[in-house]
Amino acid sequence: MRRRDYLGHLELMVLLAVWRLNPEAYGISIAKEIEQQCGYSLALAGIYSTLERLQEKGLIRSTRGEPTPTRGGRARMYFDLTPAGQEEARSTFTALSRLAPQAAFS
Amino acid sequence: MSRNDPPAAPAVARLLLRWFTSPSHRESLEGDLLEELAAGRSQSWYWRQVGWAVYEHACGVVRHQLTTFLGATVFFLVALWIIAPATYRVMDWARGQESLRILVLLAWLAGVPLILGGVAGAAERRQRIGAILLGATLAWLTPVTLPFSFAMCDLCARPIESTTPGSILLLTTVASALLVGLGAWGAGRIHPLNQEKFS
Repeated sequence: MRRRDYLGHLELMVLLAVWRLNPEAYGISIAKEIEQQCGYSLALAGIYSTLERLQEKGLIRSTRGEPTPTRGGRARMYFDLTPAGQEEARSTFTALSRLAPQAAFS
Repeated sequence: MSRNDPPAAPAVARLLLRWFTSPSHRESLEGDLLEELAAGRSQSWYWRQVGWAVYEHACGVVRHQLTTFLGATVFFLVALWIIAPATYRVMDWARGQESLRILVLLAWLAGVPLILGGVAGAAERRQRIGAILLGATLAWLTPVTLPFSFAMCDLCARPIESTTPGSILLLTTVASALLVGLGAWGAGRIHPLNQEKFS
């Protein structure tokens, strides 16, 4: 049987946050979105290493923004889901929904 | 300071961030942290974020470079087996010359982490300085390193007592340098992430 690289909990959250924020998904906005929607306060480095893993898996892509003075001349890196990323998020989310016992979540 | 000026981030934290983060997202992370500082976050928040970044990077290096670290450690131990008797002999030879003994001891204590760090650094393509420092820190933090080194000195000194210290020193230095070089080359060669460097 072929080994499949399943999404982790944090990876799924970041993937969904990137999708939800499109086209304004970058480090800070993703961290704030997850904090607002889920109540998890995540370190920016954790967000970036998760983004790096998702990018290695081909589930997201990045584009470089314009450098700004408030960022010390550094550019923002915006993230967006690839078609494979959208498919992966959909199938993982659907699988989780099917597994959840209806009585506990109604 | 005007609203558009970049905020002042702690210099040491900035250096840590530069040395111990992945180059692929270093610029974005630095920019994000400065942006949040400008938005009113505290310096302690900045330090916490840098701490997490260093931790994440260390985990990532170990995860991605596990073969490198294992290879480096094995070759380091083999090299140590050869270096240890030489150090013991030199220390014995320098008896009565306290400054020379201290010099040899310092070279030994600094050499232990630097060899391990150097091997890790040689195999780590993108973050040479960061990997050397990380390797050095890990070596210092490894509780077995120092007692093991002294135990090796005692164990290894006996079989070579008839040979002169100068020739042993030369022979073992060359041999250990070759072994460490071979370790770095072999570990890097095995790991797919480093194949580009050695091909």
